[in-house]
Amino acid sequence: MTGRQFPAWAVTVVMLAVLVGAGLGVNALEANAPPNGPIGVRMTLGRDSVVHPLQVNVSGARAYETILDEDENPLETVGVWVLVDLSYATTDEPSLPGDFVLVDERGRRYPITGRDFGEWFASPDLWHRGTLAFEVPLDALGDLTFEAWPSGLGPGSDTPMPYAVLALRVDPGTVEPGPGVVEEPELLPVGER
Amino acid sequence: MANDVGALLSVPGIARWIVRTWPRRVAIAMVGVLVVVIAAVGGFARVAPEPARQLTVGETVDVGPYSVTVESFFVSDQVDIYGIPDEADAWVGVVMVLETSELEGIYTDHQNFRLSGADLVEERFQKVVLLADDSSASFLTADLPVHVAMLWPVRDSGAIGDEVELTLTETYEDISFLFEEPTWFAGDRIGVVTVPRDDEIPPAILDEEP
Repeated sequence: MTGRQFPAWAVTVVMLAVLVGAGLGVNALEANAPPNGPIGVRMTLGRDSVVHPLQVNVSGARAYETILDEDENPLETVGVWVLVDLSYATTDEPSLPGDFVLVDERGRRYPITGRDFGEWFASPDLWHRGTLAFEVPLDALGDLTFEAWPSGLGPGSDTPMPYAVLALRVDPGTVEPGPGVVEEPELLPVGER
Repeated sequence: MANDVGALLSVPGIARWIVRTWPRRVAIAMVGVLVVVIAAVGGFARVAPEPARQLTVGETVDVGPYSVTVESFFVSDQVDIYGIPDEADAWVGVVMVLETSELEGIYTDHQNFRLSGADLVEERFQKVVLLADDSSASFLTADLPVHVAMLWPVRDSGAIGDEVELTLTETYEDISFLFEEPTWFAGDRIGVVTVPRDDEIPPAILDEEP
Protein backbone atom coordinates (compact mmCIF):
# COMPACT_ATOMS: atom_id res chain seq x y z
CA MET A 1 0.00 0.00 0.00
CA THR A 2 1.67 3.23 -1.15
CA GLY A 3 -1.23 5.54 -0.22
CA ARG A 4 -1.47 6.76 -3.79
CA GLN A 5 -5.00 6.14 -4.98
CA PHE A 6 -5.06 8.79 -7.77
CA PRO A 7 -2.59 9.22 -10.59
CA ALA A 8 -0.31 12.24 -10.22
CA TRP A 9 -1.65 13.98 -13.35
CA ALA A 10 -5.22 13.86 -11.99
CA VAL A 11 -4.16 15.51 -8.73
CA THR A 12 -2.41 18.26 -10.72
CA VAL A 13 -5.46 18.87 -12.92
CA VAL A 14 -7.81 19.06 -9.92
CA MET A 15 -5.53 21.46 -8.05
CA LEU A 16 -5.24 23.73 -11.12
CA ALA A 17 -9.01 23.68 -11.57
CA VAL A 18 -9.55 24.68 -7.93
CA LEU A 19 -7.02 27.53 -8.28
CA VAL A 20 -8.51 28.93 -11.48
CA GLY A 21 -12.03 28.50 -10.10
CA ALA A 22 -11.17 30.39 -6.90
CA GLY A 23 -9.64 33.23 -8.95
CA LEU A 24 -12.68 33.51 -11.19
CA GLY A 25 -14.95 33.44 -8.13
CA VAL A 26 -13.07 36.31 -6.43
CA ASN A 27 -13.17 38.32 -9.68
CA ALA A 28 -16.91 37.83 -10.00
CA LEU A 29 -17.45 38.80 -6.37
CA GLU A 30 -15.34 41.94 -6.75
CA ALA A 31 -17.22 43.00 -9.89
CA ASN A 32 -20.68 42.38 -8.48
CA ALA A 33 -20.19 43.36 -4.86
CA PRO A 34 -17.50 46.08 -4.64
CA PRO A 35 -16.32 46.49 -1.05
CA ASN A 36 -17.00 50.25 -1.16
CA GLY A 37 -20.50 50.04 -2.53
CA PRO A 38 -21.65 52.27 -5.41
CA ILE A 39 -19.34 55.11 -6.51
CA GLY A 40 -21.80 57.93 -7.22
CA VAL A 41 -24.77 58.57 -4.93
CA ARG A 42 -27.53 61.13 -5.40
CA MET A 43 -28.68 62.48 -2.05
CA THR A 44 -32.10 63.77 -1.06
CA LEU A 45 -32.63 66.64 1.34
CA GLY A 46 -33.53 65.35 4.79
CA ARG A 47 -32.86 61.69 3.97
CA ASP A 48 -29.99 59.42 5.02
CA SER A 49 -27.59 58.58 2.19
CA VAL A 50 -24.74 56.10 2.36
CA VAL A 51 -21.56 56.98 0.52
CA HIS A 52 -19.01 54.59 1.94
CA PRO A 53 -17.65 54.99 4.54
CA LEU A 54 -19.98 57.91 5.37
CA GLN A 55 -23.68 58.27 6.09
CA VAL A 56 -24.90 61.82 5.41
CA ASN A 57 -28.16 63.67 6.00
CA VAL A 58 -28.31 67.29 4.79
CA SER A 59 -31.12 69.37 6.24
CA GLY A 60 -30.61 72.63 4.35
CA ALA A 61 -28.52 75.67 3.48
CA ARG A 62 -28.71 79.40 4.28
CA ALA A 63 -26.63 82.44 3.36
CA TYR A 64 -25.26 85.34 5.45
CA GLU A 65 -23.26 88.47 4.76
CA THR A 66 -21.14 87.84 7.86
CA ILE A 67 -20.64 85.01 10.29
CA LEU A 68 -18.93 84.90 13.66
CA ASP A 69 -15.73 82.91 14.11
CA GLU A 70 -15.02 80.73 17.14
CA ASP A 71 -13.95 83.82 19.13
CA GLU A 72 -17.18 85.58 18.11
CA ASN A 73 -15.41 88.03 15.79
CA PRO A 74 -17.12 88.70 12.46
CA LEU A 75 -15.36 87.10 9.48
CA GLU A 76 -15.07 89.61 6.65
CA THR A 77 -15.67 88.52 3.08
CA VAL A 78 -16.17 90.20 -0.27
CA GLY A 79 -18.63 87.40 -1.03
CA VAL A 80 -21.21 85.71 1.15
CA TRP A 81 -21.21 82.79 3.54
CA VAL A 82 -23.26 79.71 2.75
CA LEU A 83 -23.91 77.56 5.80
CA VAL A 84 -24.91 73.96 5.15
CA ASP A 85 -26.58 72.17 8.07
CA LEU A 86 -26.09 68.45 8.07
CA SER A 87 -25.49 65.43 10.22
CA TYR A 88 -23.21 62.53 9.48
CA ALA A 89 -21.81 59.28 10.83
CA THR A 90 -19.62 56.55 9.34
CA THR A 91 -20.66 53.05 8.36
CA ASP A 92 -17.85 51.19 10.10
CA GLU A 93 -14.71 52.83 11.51
CA PRO A 94 -14.29 56.30 13.03
CA SER A 95 -12.69 58.76 10.59
CA LEU A 96 -12.54 62.35 9.41
CA PRO A 97 -15.10 62.66 6.63
CA GLY A 98 -12.88 63.88 3.77
CA ASP A 99 -13.85 66.79 1.53
CA PHE A 100 -17.07 68.76 1.10
CA VAL A 101 -17.38 71.06 -1.91
CA LEU A 102 -20.01 73.53 -3.07
CA VAL A 103 -20.24 73.85 -6.87
CA ASP A 104 -22.10 76.67 -8.62
CA GLU A 105 -23.83 76.65 -12.01
CA ARG A 106 -20.69 77.91 -13.78
CA GLY A 107 -18.66 75.01 -12.37
CA ARG A 108 -16.75 77.05 -9.80
CA ARG A 109 -15.79 74.84 -6.86
CA TYR A 110 -15.60 76.07 -3.28
CA PRO A 111 -14.20 73.83 -0.52
CA ILE A 112 -15.21 74.45 3.10
CA THR A 113 -13.54 77.57 4.46
CA GLY A 114 -10.10 77.18 5.96
CA ARG A 115 -10.45 80.43 7.91
CA ASP A 116 -12.12 78.86 10.92
CA PHE A 117 -14.28 75.89 11.90
CA GLY A 118 -13.95 72.73 9.86
CA GLU A 119 -15.27 69.24 9.81
CA TRP A 120 -15.85 67.14 12.85
CA PHE A 121 -14.95 63.54 13.53
CA ALA A 122 -17.37 60.91 12.30
CA SER A 123 -18.05 57.74 14.29
CA PRO A 124 -19.92 54.58 13.30
CA ASP A 125 -23.66 55.12 13.66
CA LEU A 126 -23.11 57.99 16.11
CA TRP A 127 -24.72 60.90 14.32
CA HIS A 128 -23.40 64.42 14.96
CA ARG A 129 -25.20 67.44 13.60
CA GLY A 130 -23.26 70.56 12.70
CA THR A 131 -22.73 73.29 10.13
CA LEU A 132 -20.20 73.59 7.31
CA ALA A 133 -19.23 77.12 6.19
CA PHE A 134 -18.46 77.96 2.55
CA GLU A 135 -17.21 81.34 1.31
CA VAL A 136 -18.58 82.07 -2.18
CA PRO A 137 -19.08 85.14 -4.39
CA LEU A 138 -22.62 86.54 -4.38
CA ASP A 139 -23.16 85.63 -8.04
CA ALA A 140 -22.55 81.96 -7.21
CA LEU A 141 -25.86 81.76 -5.37
CA GLY A 142 -28.84 80.13 -7.04
CA ASP A 143 -28.69 76.48 -7.99
CA LEU A 144 -25.78 74.93 -6.14
CA THR A 145 -24.51 71.37 -5.94
CA PHE A 146 -23.22 70.04 -2.65
CA GLU A 147 -20.62 67.29 -3.06
CA ALA A 148 -19.34 64.91 -0.39
CA TRP A 149 -16.05 63.10 -1.04
CA PRO A 150 -15.66 60.87 2.02
CA SER A 151 -12.24 59.56 0.99
CA GLY A 152 -10.92 63.06 0.50
CA LEU A 153 -10.05 62.78 -3.17
CA GLY A 154 -11.68 65.07 -5.66
CA PRO A 155 -12.34 64.54 -9.37
CA GLY A 156 -8.65 65.05 -10.18
CA SER A 157 -8.05 61.50 -8.98
CA ASP A 158 -7.78 58.70 -11.52
CA THR A 159 -8.98 56.18 -8.94
CA PRO A 160 -12.77 55.99 -8.73
CA MET A 161 -13.62 57.34 -5.28
CA PRO A 162 -17.14 57.24 -3.91
CA TYR A 163 -18.94 60.58 -3.77
CA ALA A 164 -22.40 61.92 -3.24
CA VAL A 165 -24.16 64.95 -4.74
CA LEU A 166 -27.13 66.99 -3.63
CA ALA A 167 -28.89 69.83 -5.47
CA LEU A 168 -29.26 72.80 -3.12
CA ARG A 169 -31.04 76.04 -3.94
CA VAL A 170 -29.94 79.20 -2.14
CA ASP A 171 -31.66 82.29 -3.54
CA PRO A 172 -29.55 85.46 -3.77
CA GLY A 173 -32.57 87.30 -2.37
CA THR A 174 -32.53 85.28 0.86
CA VAL A 175 -29.08 86.41 2.05
CA GLU A 176 -29.46 87.58 5.64
CA PRO A 177 -27.21 90.29 7.05
CA GLY A 178 -26.34 88.05 9.99
CA PRO A 179 -24.01 87.59 11.63
CA GLY A 180 -24.73 83.90 11.24
CA VAL A 181 -23.61 81.59 14.01
CA VAL A 182 -21.90 78.30 13.31
CA GLU A 183 -23.02 76.00 16.13
CA GLU A 184 -20.70 73.48 17.74
CA PRO A 185 -21.36 69.98 16.38
CA GLU A 186 -23.60 68.02 18.73
CA LEU A 187 -24.19 64.31 19.28
CA LEU A 188 -27.74 63.38 18.37
CA PRO A 189 -29.99 60.97 20.26
CA VAL A 190 -30.61 57.67 18.47
CA GLY A 191 -32.89 58.11 15.49
CA GLU A 192 -32.55 61.91 15.25
CA ARG A 193 -30.83 63.71 12.41
CA MET B 1 45.61 49.87 -45.58
CA ALA B 2 45.24 50.89 -41.94
CA ASN B 3 47.90 53.51 -42.52
CA ASP B 4 45.93 54.98 -45.44
CA VAL B 5 42.76 55.38 -43.33
CA GLY B 6 44.80 57.00 -40.57
CA ALA B 7 46.28 59.48 -43.05
CA LEU B 8 42.85 60.35 -44.45
CA LEU B 9 41.38 61.04 -41.02
CA SER B 10 44.29 63.15 -39.78
CA VAL B 11 43.94 66.95 -39.84
CA PRO B 12 46.38 67.44 -42.75
CA GLY B 13 44.58 64.60 -44.56
CA ILE B 14 41.18 66.29 -44.26
CA ALA B 15 42.62 69.67 -45.22
CA ARG B 16 44.24 68.16 -48.33
CA TRP B 17 40.93 66.48 -49.25
CA ILE B 18 39.08 69.81 -48.99
CA VAL B 19 41.44 71.78 -51.23
CA ARG B 20 41.93 69.02 -53.77
CA THR B 21 39.42 70.31 -56.42
CA TRP B 22 38.25 73.80 -57.44
CA PRO B 23 34.55 73.40 -56.45
CA ARG B 24 35.70 72.38 -52.96
CA ARG B 25 38.00 75.39 -52.70
CA VAL B 26 35.18 77.71 -53.78
CA ALA B 27 32.76 76.17 -51.28
CA ILE B 28 35.15 76.51 -48.35
CA ALA B 29 35.96 80.09 -49.39
CA MET B 30 32.22 80.94 -49.41
CA VAL B 31 31.81 79.61 -45.87
CA GLY B 32 34.74 81.80 -44.80
CA VAL B 33 33.26 84.86 -46.53
CA LEU B 34 29.89 84.20 -44.86
CA VAL B 35 31.49 84.18 -41.39
CA VAL B 36 33.34 87.42 -42.21
CA VAL B 37 30.13 89.09 -43.46
CA ILE B 38 28.15 88.05 -40.36
CA ALA B 39 30.93 89.41 -38.15
CA ALA B 40 31.05 92.66 -40.20
CA VAL B 41 27.34 93.40 -39.73
CA GLY B 42 27.60 92.70 -35.98
CA GLY B 43 25.91 89.32 -36.02
CA PHE B 44 28.17 87.93 -33.30
CA ALA B 45 27.71 90.81 -30.86
CA ARG B 46 26.27 89.94 -27.46
CA VAL B 47 22.60 90.84 -27.12
CA ALA B 48 21.87 92.78 -23.97
CA PRO B 49 19.12 91.10 -21.93
CA GLU B 50 15.77 92.79 -22.35
CA PRO B 51 15.40 95.25 -19.48
CA ALA B 52 12.74 94.26 -16.96
CA ARG B 53 9.48 96.10 -17.50
CA GLN B 54 8.82 98.43 -14.61
CA LEU B 55 5.47 97.64 -13.03
CA THR B 56 3.86 100.08 -10.69
CA VAL B 57 2.44 99.62 -7.23
CA GLY B 58 -1.32 99.23 -7.47
CA GLU B 59 -1.15 97.88 -11.02
CA THR B 60 -3.07 94.62 -11.50
CA VAL B 61 -0.83 92.11 -13.26
CA ASP B 62 -2.12 88.82 -14.70
CA VAL B 63 0.54 86.17 -14.06
CA GLY B 64 -1.45 83.27 -15.52
CA PRO B 65 -3.29 81.37 -12.78
CA TYR B 66 -4.23 84.56 -10.92
CA SER B 67 -3.75 88.33 -10.92
CA VAL B 68 -1.50 90.20 -8.50
CA THR B 69 -1.83 93.78 -7.26
CA VAL B 70 1.17 94.72 -5.12
CA GLU B 71 0.75 97.46 -2.50
CA SER B 72 3.62 97.68 -0.01
CA PHE B 73 5.95 95.64 2.17
CA PHE B 74 6.77 95.45 5.87
CA VAL B 75 9.55 93.96 7.96
CA SER B 76 8.45 92.39 11.22
CA ASP B 77 9.30 89.75 13.79
CA GLN B 78 5.87 90.18 15.40
CA VAL B 79 4.07 88.25 12.68
CA ASP B 80 3.79 84.46 13.03
CA ILE B 81 6.46 84.45 15.77
CA TYR B 82 6.56 80.66 16.09
CA GLY B 83 6.88 80.15 12.34
CA ILE B 84 10.15 82.10 11.87
CA PRO B 85 12.97 79.69 10.90
CA ASP B 86 16.00 79.62 13.26
CA GLU B 87 18.39 81.27 10.82
CA ALA B 88 16.01 84.18 10.17
CA ASP B 89 15.39 87.18 12.43
CA ALA B 90 12.21 88.55 10.81
CA TRP B 91 9.73 88.28 7.98
CA VAL B 92 9.46 90.43 4.92
CA GLY B 93 5.75 90.58 4.14
CA VAL B 94 4.62 91.87 0.77
CA VAL B 95 1.04 93.14 0.95
CA MET B 96 -0.97 92.38 -2.17
CA VAL B 97 -4.36 91.47 -3.57
CA LEU B 98 -4.66 88.08 -5.30
CA GLU B 99 -7.58 87.02 -7.46
CA THR B 100 -8.13 83.91 -9.57
CA SER B 101 -10.75 82.79 -12.03
CA GLU B 102 -9.65 79.15 -12.04
CA LEU B 103 -12.88 77.19 -11.57
CA GLU B 104 -11.39 74.65 -9.19
CA GLY B 105 -9.30 77.18 -7.27
CA ILE B 106 -5.51 77.20 -7.25
CA TYR B 107 -2.54 77.23 -4.87
CA THR B 108 -0.24 80.24 -4.90
CA ASP B 109 2.95 79.31 -6.75
CA HIS B 110 6.48 80.42 -5.80
CA GLN B 111 7.40 80.46 -9.51
CA ASN B 112 5.38 83.67 -9.96
CA PHE B 113 7.25 85.65 -7.29
CA ARG B 114 10.93 86.48 -6.74
CA LEU B 115 11.98 88.96 -4.09
CA SER B 116 15.25 90.91 -4.05
CA GLY B 117 16.55 93.63 -1.78
CA ALA B 118 16.62 91.49 1.37
CA ASP B 119 18.82 88.62 2.59
CA LEU B 120 16.35 85.78 2.06
CA VAL B 121 16.71 82.48 3.90
CA GLU B 122 15.05 80.78 0.95
CA GLU B 123 14.02 82.09 -2.46
CA ARG B 124 10.49 80.75 -2.10
CA PHE B 125 7.94 82.56 -0.01
CA GLN B 126 6.94 80.51 2.98
CA LYS B 127 3.40 81.61 3.78
CA VAL B 128 0.48 83.62 2.51
CA VAL B 129 -1.76 84.98 5.27
CA LEU B 130 -5.04 86.83 5.08
CA LEU B 131 -4.70 90.36 6.49
CA ALA B 132 -8.24 90.21 7.90
CA ASP B 133 -7.72 87.33 10.32
CA ASP B 134 -4.25 85.75 9.92
CA SER B 135 -5.63 82.54 8.37
CA SER B 136 -3.76 80.85 5.57
CA ALA B 137 -4.59 82.11 2.09
CA SER B 138 -2.30 79.91 0.04
CA PHE B 139 -5.35 78.39 -1.70
CA LEU B 140 -7.37 80.82 -3.80
CA THR B 141 -10.93 80.17 -4.94
CA ALA B 142 -12.56 81.58 -8.05
CA ASP B 143 -13.64 85.24 -8.06
CA LEU B 144 -12.99 85.81 -4.36
CA PRO B 145 -10.16 88.37 -4.25
CA VAL B 146 -8.08 88.23 -1.08
CA HIS B 147 -5.98 90.91 0.62
CA VAL B 148 -2.89 89.08 1.87
CA ALA B 149 0.68 89.31 3.08
CA MET B 150 3.15 87.00 1.36
CA LEU B 151 5.94 86.15 3.82
CA TRP B 152 9.64 85.45 3.25
CA PRO B 153 11.94 84.75 6.23
CA VAL B 154 15.02 87.04 6.15
CA ARG B 155 18.41 87.36 7.87
CA ASP B 156 19.87 90.71 8.85
CA SER B 157 16.53 92.48 8.68
CA GLY B 158 18.06 95.76 9.90
CA ALA B 159 19.85 96.19 6.57
CA ILE B 160 16.64 96.29 4.55
CA GLY B 161 16.00 99.69 3.01
CA ASP B 162 12.88 101.57 2.02
CA GLU B 163 12.33 99.52 -1.10
CA VAL B 164 12.43 95.90 -2.21
CA GLU B 165 11.91 94.58 -5.71
CA LEU B 166 9.39 91.91 -6.57
CA THR B 167 9.83 90.21 -9.94
CA LEU B 168 6.64 88.74 -11.38
CA THR B 169 6.94 85.81 -13.76
CA GLU B 170 4.18 84.31 -15.84
CA THR B 171 3.28 80.63 -15.44
CA TYR B 172 1.28 78.54 -17.88
CA GLU B 173 -0.42 75.18 -17.59
CA ASP B 174 0.66 72.27 -19.74
CA ILE B 175 0.64 68.50 -19.62
CA SER B 176 3.79 67.34 -17.87
CA PHE B 177 5.87 65.08 -20.14
CA LEU B 178 7.02 63.01 -17.20
CA PHE B 179 3.84 62.59 -15.15
CA GLU B 180 1.27 63.16 -17.91
CA GLU B 181 -0.81 65.47 -15.77
CA PRO B 182 -1.44 69.21 -15.95
CA THR B 183 1.37 71.18 -14.31
CA TRP B 184 2.20 74.88 -14.11
CA PHE B 185 5.48 75.85 -15.79
CA ALA B 186 7.41 79.12 -15.50
CA GLY B 187 7.15 81.28 -18.61
CA ASP B 188 8.34 84.80 -19.41
CA ARG B 189 9.33 87.33 -16.83
CA ILE B 190 6.62 89.99 -16.82
CA GLY B 191 8.38 92.77 -14.94
CA VAL B 192 9.55 94.17 -11.66
CA VAL B 193 7.61 96.10 -9.04
CA THR B 194 9.54 98.46 -6.79
CA VAL B 195 7.66 97.99 -3.54
CA PRO B 196 7.61 100.83 -1.00
CA ARG B 197 7.98 100.10 2.69
CA ASP B 198 5.07 100.57 5.07
CA ASP B 199 5.64 99.09 8.51
CA GLU B 200 2.10 99.76 9.66
CA ILE B 201 1.02 96.15 9.94
CA PRO B 202 -2.65 95.18 10.10
CA PRO B 203 -3.19 94.30 13.78
CA ALA B 204 -5.05 91.07 12.97
CA ILE B 205 -1.85 89.38 11.79
CA LEU B 206 0.32 90.52 14.73
CA ASP B 207 1.08 87.89 17.37
CA GLU B 208 1.09 88.76 21.02
CA GLU B 209 4.58 88.69 22.56
CA PRO B 210 5.41 85.06 23.46
